[in-house]
Amino acid sequence: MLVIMAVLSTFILVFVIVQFQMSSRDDLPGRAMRVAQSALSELQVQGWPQSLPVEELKRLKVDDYFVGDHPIARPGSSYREEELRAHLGLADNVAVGVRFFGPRMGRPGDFRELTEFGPPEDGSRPAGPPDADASPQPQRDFGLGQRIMVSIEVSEGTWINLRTTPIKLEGPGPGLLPVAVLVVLMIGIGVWAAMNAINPLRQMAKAANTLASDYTHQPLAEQGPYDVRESLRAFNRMGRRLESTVAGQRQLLAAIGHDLRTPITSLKLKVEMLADANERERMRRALFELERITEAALAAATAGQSGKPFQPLDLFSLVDSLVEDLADLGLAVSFVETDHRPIVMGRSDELTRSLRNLIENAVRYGERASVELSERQGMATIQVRDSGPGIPVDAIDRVFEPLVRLEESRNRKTGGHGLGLHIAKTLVEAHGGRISLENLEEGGLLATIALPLKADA
Amino acid sequence: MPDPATNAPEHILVIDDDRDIREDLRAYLTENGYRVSTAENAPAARRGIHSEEPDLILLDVMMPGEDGISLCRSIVRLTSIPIVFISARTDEIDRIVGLEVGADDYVCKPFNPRELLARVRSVLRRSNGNNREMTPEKTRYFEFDRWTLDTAKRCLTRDDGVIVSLSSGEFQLLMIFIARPQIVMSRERIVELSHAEGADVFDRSVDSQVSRFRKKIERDPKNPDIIQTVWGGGYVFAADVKKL
Repeated sequence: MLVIMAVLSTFILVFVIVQFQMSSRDDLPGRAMRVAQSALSELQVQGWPQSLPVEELKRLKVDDYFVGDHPIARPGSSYREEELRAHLGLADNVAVGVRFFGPRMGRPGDFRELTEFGPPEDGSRPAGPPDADASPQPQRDFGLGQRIMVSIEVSEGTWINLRTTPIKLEGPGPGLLPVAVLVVLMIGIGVWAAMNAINPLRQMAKAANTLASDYTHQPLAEQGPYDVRESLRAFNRMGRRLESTVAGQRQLLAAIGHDLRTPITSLKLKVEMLADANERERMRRALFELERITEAALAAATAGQSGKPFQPLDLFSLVDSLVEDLADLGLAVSFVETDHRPIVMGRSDELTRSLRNLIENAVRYGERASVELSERQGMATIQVRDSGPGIPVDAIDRVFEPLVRLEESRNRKTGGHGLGLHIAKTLVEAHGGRISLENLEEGGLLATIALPLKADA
Repeated sequence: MPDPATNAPEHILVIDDDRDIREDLRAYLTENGYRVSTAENAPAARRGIHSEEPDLILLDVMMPGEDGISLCRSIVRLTSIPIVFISARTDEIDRIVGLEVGADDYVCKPFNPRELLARVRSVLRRSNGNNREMTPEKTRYFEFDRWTLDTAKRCLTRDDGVIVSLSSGEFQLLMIFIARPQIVMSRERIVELSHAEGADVFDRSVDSQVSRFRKKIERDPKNPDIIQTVWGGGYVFAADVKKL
């Protein structure tokens, strides 16, 4: 990519320079002659009827002219006189002289005559391609900073003398445009080269954040300057390793969870046949706890991995049904009346599980849960409020990590397993949503799930 | 088929490749008054069914060799023995497949033994009453108004594709109504039916249940088209019901 761009820009550069050279040299003597003609025409306007080609004049301005009784460019000064005569359409008997000047080095405004446009060596060398065996080919270069003088005898003893301004890069011709193009191009290439190095780094930062949040690695294109490319390659390697390690752990956890179901079932059946009722009840509770942790671990290991398609869901009915079912199970949970009927795209069972985890947490640590549904800023928002003590501010992010429990003692009593919030977060984020916790000023904890609304809903 | 009135224990065949589960189920079900035989794979199960037709089969879905789904299909084709699936899978898909190949019920490991017992009893009761055809679970989809009810997933799909969730109570209420369209039912009758069909969630009043439900399915809950109130009579499910 870089190579292609470099080649391309070099090509453009060369093209622009050649164009520039070409245009500034473009048969300059010829043009000078045309200008002289224009100047003549201008004079003719005063006496001789002929139209004036203004454009040419603009390009190569006649700096000065005067009518005098002697020529400043004597006929016979340059071999290109005949050419000029032809250009101007002058009769053979009209005397014409032309001299070419170039800038003197280091002395601005000072000119020296260009000898290479000097008089024909043997008087028989008019314009036209020189003979192949001719001695040193007169250089025809005539360009930047150069000027010409033309003298034409318009009547016996009356000469029109013209002097052009030195050729400058201005006006509607090549002018500054190529330079401007060049500058823009250079800046463009510079910016492009910088972006070329920076963009992959930006993508890497983004990918690193994704990797840190859900342990999925989107391979980055290994591009850019050498060092950047190497960094990307190393990052990709790290990402793949991390992803496969975490995936492996998840699979292991899922396999263990899955395999535990059978022995738990077996134990449950055995417990039912215990003679001692107290013992039976204690074993049932222990098994229930074991089962709950197993299922939670299994859910955490497989959260968001189902691959089932998203469907449009009526979120109101989802929240309402869950709240009713949980209330029927004896949880202190209520759903605040609302007219909002947001539709989101998702998997009903996963969103239900996320919300259930939040509600169960609220009831467990905050006595009761009050659930609200609303729409704001293109998101459907479910809020779960409790009446508990809230959580320390510095722990708010930590509680979403697996197996983090804030108060061991309280936890044992209330029976949390430290996976509920982690599972909820994983599932909500798999739906492109956000989950957050905040302590309320009036007391209690507020848990919020925000999900993007269905696009055309 | 043994007559329950004669006290002869009903015969349950347990098919599971896990020896512990087989033996635990045998012990547990025996203790609860059933006669139990076991099989560890599909061929053994077929021999068991041929030699002595059981009253009910508990069938593990995942077994080495021929799996439970395939075995269930062939049993259902040849006999009318009710089948309850036992599986460690909880995916909805498996539950639906299980019911679609003709099983009567489905429990997931680790199931609660008392719940298993309740389901076994309920399936046996239905099969002895010889009214298996009448159980509404045999039809998976119902259509009414602009809704499609999926009884396996327990959700309603609106004609624009939006999925509406149902609580357990609402689902049971809907199943009662859908089996009796255009029939006026008193509140007492609805409660009675809910108990008869194994529902236990009607703690709240039928009225509040209906009014909640209307918010989900009616175009205008205040002016309902589907579940209409009959003054002095109760409720009537006014929409046409189509089985799919």
